[in-house]
Amino acid sequence: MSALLAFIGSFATSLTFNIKGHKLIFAGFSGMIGSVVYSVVMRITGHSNFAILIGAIAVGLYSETAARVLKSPATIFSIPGILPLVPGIAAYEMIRFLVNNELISAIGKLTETVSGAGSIAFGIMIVTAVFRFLTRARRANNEKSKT
Amino acid sequence: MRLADLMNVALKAGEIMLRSGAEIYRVEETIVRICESYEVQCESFVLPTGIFISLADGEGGTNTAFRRIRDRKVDLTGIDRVNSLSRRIQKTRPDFGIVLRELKEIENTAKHGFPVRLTATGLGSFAFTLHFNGSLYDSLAALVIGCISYSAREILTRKGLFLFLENLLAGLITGFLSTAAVDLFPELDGYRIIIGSVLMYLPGVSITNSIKDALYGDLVASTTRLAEAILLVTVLAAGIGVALVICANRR
Repeated sequence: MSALLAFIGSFATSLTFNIKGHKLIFAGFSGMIGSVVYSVVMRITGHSNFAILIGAIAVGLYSETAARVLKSPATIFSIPGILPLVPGIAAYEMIRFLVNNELISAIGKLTETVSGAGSIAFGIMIVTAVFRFLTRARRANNEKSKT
Repeated sequence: MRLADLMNVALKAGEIMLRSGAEIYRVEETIVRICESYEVQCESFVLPTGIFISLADGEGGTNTAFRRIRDRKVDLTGIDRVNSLSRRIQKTRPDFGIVLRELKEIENTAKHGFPVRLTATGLGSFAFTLHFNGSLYDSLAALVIGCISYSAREILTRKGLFLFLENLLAGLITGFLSTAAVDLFPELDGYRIIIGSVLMYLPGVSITNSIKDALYGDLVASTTRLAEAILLVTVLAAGIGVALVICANRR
């Protein structure tokens, strides 16, 4: 059920980013995969930042693969895909604490929100770096075999 | 004049990509790819707000041009199409006229209209509120609030006011309306409504591009985009916060 919601959410976001045609469906799947991986890892380890990291890595792997299969930039799939992973509940509790003037609790939630966002960034970063390294290695190999 | 035509094509392609929110390395690579397909040596230097291209004229001199990019609008399909066009140029080397016409066509292709985007925003707000454990009624409220704040944001965008103000307004409206909704129906959870309907305004493109630019060594673009993203989020949060504090103190 949560997976379906993530799919609809990512699908809707990609519409506002002006993605068209069958690529919309693939962008929706990206969000679904991220959120499924997140909830599985969350259930096993109970550590939300780690789960977000693994979820972001899954989104990154999916978007780089989809980019190569569909011959489009990877960002088309990764931008909508990371949205369901955004630590919305932590942000929500932070605003609530801030409005009630409970500053210490708000700082705790702020840390949780920022580290969640950092996990997303780091996950995408790892995957992009690895894929870039692989493409480079392959290109170098091709040029070597030509000469 | 062959070189001038090539310059024109390369600038136009770069302009469309950068306007649509492409990463810096992708714009630079595309420009170099187009020029080298026609066997002209080329260097390109791209900033988030401008494009510099330098072409070797084959007699030891260089021709340089630059173009300033002022407005930006996310259009991932545009990036995709220019990207595949440049790969096609590499293979078939079509006439400059044909390429230029296709670029113009890409630039003028209709984007999703306002009704489609409005529906998408409503649907997204609905789905994300449910996703963050909101109840069905929370999600319905988020759907309505998301649509209203998106319409207001669209009006400001059409008036051409700057980006940060739009997010402030969206935050304010979301804050006020969700408090009003909770006043009318006390069983609703105002904060979940806010999170669900505001998630669509998060600067996903800026953040993702900032990460990728950093990885490809475009540090200037990376830091400016990160700053842009942080500003956008802060302004949005400030809008919500101001609305909530005003509402909390009204009695």
